[in-house]
Amino acid sequence: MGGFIQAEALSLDYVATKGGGFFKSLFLGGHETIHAIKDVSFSIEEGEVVGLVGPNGAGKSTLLKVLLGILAPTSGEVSVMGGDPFKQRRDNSYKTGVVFGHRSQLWWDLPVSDSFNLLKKIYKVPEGVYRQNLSYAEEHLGIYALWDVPVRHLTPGQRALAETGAASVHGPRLLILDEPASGIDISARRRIMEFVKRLNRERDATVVMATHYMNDTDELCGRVILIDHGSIVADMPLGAFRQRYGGRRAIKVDLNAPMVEFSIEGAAASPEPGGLTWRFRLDPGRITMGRLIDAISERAEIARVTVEDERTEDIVHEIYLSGLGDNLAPEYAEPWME
Amino acid sequence: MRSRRICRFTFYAGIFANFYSYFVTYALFWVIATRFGNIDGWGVEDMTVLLGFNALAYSVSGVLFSYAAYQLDNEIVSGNLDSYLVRPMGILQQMACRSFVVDALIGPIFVTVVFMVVAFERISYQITAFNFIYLAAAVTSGILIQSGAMIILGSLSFWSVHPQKIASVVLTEMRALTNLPLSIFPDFVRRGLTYALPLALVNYYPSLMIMRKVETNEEFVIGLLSPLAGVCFFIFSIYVFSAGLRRYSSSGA
Repeated sequence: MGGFIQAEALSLDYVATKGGGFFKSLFLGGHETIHAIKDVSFSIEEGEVVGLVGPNGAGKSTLLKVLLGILAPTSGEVSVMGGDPFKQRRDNSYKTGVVFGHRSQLWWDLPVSDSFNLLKKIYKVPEGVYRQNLSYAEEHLGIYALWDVPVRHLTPGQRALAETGAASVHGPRLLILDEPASGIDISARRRIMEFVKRLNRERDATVVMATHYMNDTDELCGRVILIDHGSIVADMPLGAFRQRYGGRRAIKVDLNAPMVEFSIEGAAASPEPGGLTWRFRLDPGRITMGRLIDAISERAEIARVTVEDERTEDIVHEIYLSGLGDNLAPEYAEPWME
Repeated sequence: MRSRRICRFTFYAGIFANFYSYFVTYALFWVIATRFGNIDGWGVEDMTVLLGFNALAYSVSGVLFSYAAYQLDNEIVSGNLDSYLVRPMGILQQMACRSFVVDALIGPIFVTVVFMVVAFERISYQITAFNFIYLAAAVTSGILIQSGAMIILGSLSFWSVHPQKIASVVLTEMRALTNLPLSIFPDFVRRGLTYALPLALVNYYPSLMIMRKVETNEEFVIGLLSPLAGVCFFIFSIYVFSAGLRRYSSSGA
């Protein structure tokens, strides 16, 4: 199989125990098969940064676990860095950095420095390489400020910085990030995204990131794989994704005096608290920007108008609302149901 | 271990607590056994050796594998097992590193060695080269059997939820039976602790050999082979753990 990461007709099923009454479950344990991943095929080239997006339970984390060799697929083929990730899990782990946003990979009672030193030994990183990678992490993540602090005393943001630094200490060729910026402050999030971006550009790391936050994808990813109910429903460059499913424009209007209520056909309005700033998402076929501005001018004095590209997050939100697969609204159905 | 050294109070408190706990256990045992005179031909010194083998094996294996026995279930449920799996190091090795606390080892080993030496002195035991080698092999084998039991009991987490109770019954209640001479129990208990769950190979059969109490061919063969049995049982436990891990990998549960 070619490609840095390659999956062909990949499926993974779970067998789960079905519910039932107490006595029935004791003697007649029913089972049902859950298709966590269904017939998934994709290829990722070395150096790509791919965002894996989808709602909770879509199968994103399960797919990452298959790529990491933690779970073995039920059927289909998968290859990561030239081999079966399940069979060569240990070999691949030397070349893979992993961040699980919801759980720590550092040692809770130890200072950050000790966790890094342990990882250096576990990954057998030569002293020179370790020093170099540590300096790189310090430069972009500010690791040394956390160096002597026990992990349990770190704030969520600091812990995320330390986790990301720790995942890079052995110079991985592949970075797997599962919700890396979940529940952390904006400053830490930006530093992490910038660091990952640099690892990709300056050190040729291939990145696969599962996230709920499309802002992360906007900042980092050149390509989006949208997954739902274990199936890939869209796989394309971020620009194409936005062009295909976006198309709507977002306008931010700052007013000189608060406007309490406003609505107009063809534009979804969302005021910020206080009513001085309003955001509109325009449906191009139904309203023009000029008509919207005129309508607002009749109600309030406009201080400034800013045209924004629609955020990918909003696009995906619309897709989720419309339903995926069979339930797709007509305007979203066509691209992946062909 | 490093985390214990960082918090010195915990480290010294751990040493004291373990020392105190084992000292009280041996002292009580010594008082009670002296009072009873002997049990089925086993005097207080003989039973001290019996208890010593058991305590040595349990303290060392506990320091290495109690985390696997009692916490693997939590690691699976919390998803932390995935963190172990993404590192280039064996899962059991990582768990052993995590649970290794030297302060839990110092007290038990010190107290056990002191009481065993006193017991050997009192019966004027002659330590020959064979005895010394057999003693070392028996202690190692006991550690491997206890470790194997902990690994197997922990591995049940791959097939069931919250199996710690089973681990507790085996490693506490059933193990306590082996602190007494196996000959006083009904035959099915003796066979169970010899062939099904070979905890008697940790201390009873080696004690028979060391204290020259072997009476049957079966006892002699088992006693002689118990060091080898330790190695086999430990390998078997690794196999069970690997099978469980394969199940986890195919089901994620």
